[in-house]
Amino acid sequence: MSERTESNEASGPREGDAGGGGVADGGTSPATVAGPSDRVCGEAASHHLDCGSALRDLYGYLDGEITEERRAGIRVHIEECGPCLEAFDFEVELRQLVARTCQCDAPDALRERVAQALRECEDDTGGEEGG
Amino acid sequence: MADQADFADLAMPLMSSLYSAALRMTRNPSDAEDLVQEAYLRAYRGFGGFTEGTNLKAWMYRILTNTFINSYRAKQRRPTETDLDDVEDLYLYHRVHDAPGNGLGTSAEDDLMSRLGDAEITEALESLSENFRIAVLLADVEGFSYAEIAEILDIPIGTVMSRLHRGRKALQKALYEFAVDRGLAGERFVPKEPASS
Repeated sequence: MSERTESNEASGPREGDAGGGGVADGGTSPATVAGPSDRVCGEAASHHLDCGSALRDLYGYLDGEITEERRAGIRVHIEECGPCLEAFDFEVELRQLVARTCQCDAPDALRERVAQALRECEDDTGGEEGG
Repeated sequence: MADQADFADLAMPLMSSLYSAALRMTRNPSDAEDLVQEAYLRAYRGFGGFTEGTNLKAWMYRILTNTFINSYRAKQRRPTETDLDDVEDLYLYHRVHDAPGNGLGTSAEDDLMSRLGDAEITEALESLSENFRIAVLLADVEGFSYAEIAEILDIPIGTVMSRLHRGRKALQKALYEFAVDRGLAGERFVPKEPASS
């Protein structure tokens, strides 16, 4: 299976989602291009990347699905931009919390049951599907 | 071609991961156990079709997901699709961070995170519609790549991204609503006064 994925950089991971950004309040106003309303900290000019772009790539970044170049840009941005760092951290922690909560051990009884069922299956087929 | 004799050794270690996913899919332990057992038997029978050296975990998830969709979905109560049009990105973060009373130095976000219990999280996830729930599970709990999820679910990568985007929003909205309902956030939540000296 190829590890390559389609680029999601151009439009971000949205489909049928009106308007860009939508990060800051007022994202519903029509015809906004990544403008000041996309910014969280209002200091975009001092960063290599503005907050809107960084936040649009947030999930691609956390998912490991953006190019190394963009990753590097985001890393630089969140080192410099406290509000974006907070937002990124929040998403990371939330995801870890959800993952931790959802991971549990299979009950021993189930392991036994499946192992037994597989053995029976083996006996039934007797290796006839082996070739 | 994979040898059936190797199946148990390779596949049994994946069981906890598959069972965890099955539990979130079926929403109850007894159905989850049946689903896992059925998926293992199907996988065993079809193991000849598995290409050795490729991703066994993704292959098993594909069988688990298909088994769920074909055998269990009919039994499931269908959560209603939530309207996500007015849900912005980083929904939960903004709800908490921008709330009145989120004052200096305190981190309302971290506080909320520590108040959210297993019940809120599992219920929020289980309240999502199936497509969203499975996509979020595969990405955020199991850590599959977009390409792997596309294979597992047999959908285009663009659809994976769309489901993840909307599913994550829906999850955050549900989490916030559960938190508000239970007085962990929102108007009824009264933060503890920091101990003053």
